[in-house]
Formats: sequence, structure tokens, C-alpha cells
Amino acid sequence: MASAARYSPNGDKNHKTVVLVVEDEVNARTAAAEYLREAGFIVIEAWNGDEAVAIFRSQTHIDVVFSDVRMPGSMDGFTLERWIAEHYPATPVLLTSGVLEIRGNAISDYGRRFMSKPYIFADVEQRIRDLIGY
Amino acid sequence: MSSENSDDTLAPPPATPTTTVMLVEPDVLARMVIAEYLRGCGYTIVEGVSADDVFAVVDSGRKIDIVFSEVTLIGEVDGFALSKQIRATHPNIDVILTQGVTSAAERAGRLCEDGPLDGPYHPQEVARRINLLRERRRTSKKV
Repeated sequence: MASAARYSPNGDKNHKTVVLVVEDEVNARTAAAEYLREAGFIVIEAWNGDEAVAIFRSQTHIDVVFSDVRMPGSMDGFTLERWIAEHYPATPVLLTSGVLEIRGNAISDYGRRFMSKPYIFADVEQRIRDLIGY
Repeated sequence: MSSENSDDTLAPPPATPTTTVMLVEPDVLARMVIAEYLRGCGYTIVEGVSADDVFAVVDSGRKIDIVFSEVTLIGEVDGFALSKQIRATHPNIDVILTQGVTSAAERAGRLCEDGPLDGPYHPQEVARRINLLRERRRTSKKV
């Protein structure tokens, strides 16, 4: 488990990568968030897509999003991913689901930006590092 | 932790396990700021939005020392009923109820005073940060 500290664009050597974890199941979210904090990331937790949007709208800096697909609220993970792509195109999104047949073949379009459940935390960490190029 | 024994030559007291606080707050911006603040005070924080979340965590076997909950929650059970249920089923868990940002910031500040680390900033800053984020969210909706 390597440190997630990295150089920020403004030269802050102590900048840590901020991961937004979006998951409605509390134990799954807590476990993922705690693993990623141990890995050195700053982790913000959201219960659903609406909360994730509220966090973005509060101008809180987010480097990468790790989101479940099926969630309560007005948007699922696919809708959240499209919202982020429209408003924050530089912020990568890693989606996860235990249901592989969601929307037919849509999942195959996501390639490395999708992980099926159950996942191994170390794989999530590596996939996040791949997405942010660190 | 105080001791009646004042002998400085004794070995240091055994390390105590980290106190775990379950923060139950349906407003994500308030929860985000309070969780960050209490983590800075040295607590382990588990975040939730409802009474169901509390019992899902407790039933998983996770040890929770303190439930820090807003009165108004997502779901059918409010903070008062949650507190009553916890006291009946898990009397070893302390419950702190708050209502609104000012109350939550004040209680978080007091909890921080009892925590293992000095707070990262003054508890009044907790309320200020929450209100700032709420204002940013409100104005961004106009765009």
C-alpha cells in the first residue's frame, strides 16, 4: 500500500488525492473508505448520487470518484458519471456493481472504469491510481 | 484518564483502542465537515444517514462507542427514537443528539476536548465551514 501523496498542480508537495466514495450500503462504504484512507487518500463519503452532486456543487475539490451503480435517489451511478463528465470532465469516475447485466452491454463500454463486486480493495486502489495517473 | 498513583517511574498506561464515533447526519455537507473535524481530533468515524445505518453497523459486529446523531434523520426513525432503541439494546453505547449546525458544532467541540488529539481548528469553524459549503451549493444551483 503506497502513499497517495502526490504533487499538486499548484506545487503543494503535501497534496493528497481526494477520493469521493459513493455507496448507499453503510458497511461497504465504510470498509472501502477506511481502506483508501489507510492507503493515504483523503476520502469523502456520499450516500447516493444526489449527495455526490451536492459535494461537487459546494466546490469541494474531488480528484476521482468511486461509485456504486445502483443507489437510492434521483440518479444511479451511470447518471452520476454522465453529470460529472459534463460538469467536471477532468474528474475520472470508477463505477462498481454486483449486477453485471445493468442496461445490457453498457458496462462493457466502461472498460477499466468499471469493477464488478465483490472487489478486492487493493485492486480498487490500483484502478484509482491508474485513473489519476499516479 | 486520571490515576491516584502519582509515581512517575511507573510504565506508561497501556494504549487505549481508538474510540469509534458513528456520526449520523442526513445533510452531506454537515456530515463531511463534522466527520473531518472529529477525525482530526483522533476519533475513528463511521458515517451514516439513518437509524438503519446505525443498526447495520452494530449488527455487523463493529464496535461503536458513541452515536453522534442529528435529530432529523432519513427514514422513519428519528434521533429520539434511535437514542431510545440504542439505550434499550446497546446500553454501552453513548448517544449524543444534536439539532442543527450550531448544536452539532458545539457538541463536536466538546467531544473533541475529550478526544485523544487537539482539535484541528476551533469548533466555531465547523459551523462556519458548513454554512460556507451550503452557500456555495445554493449559489451554484443558479448557474
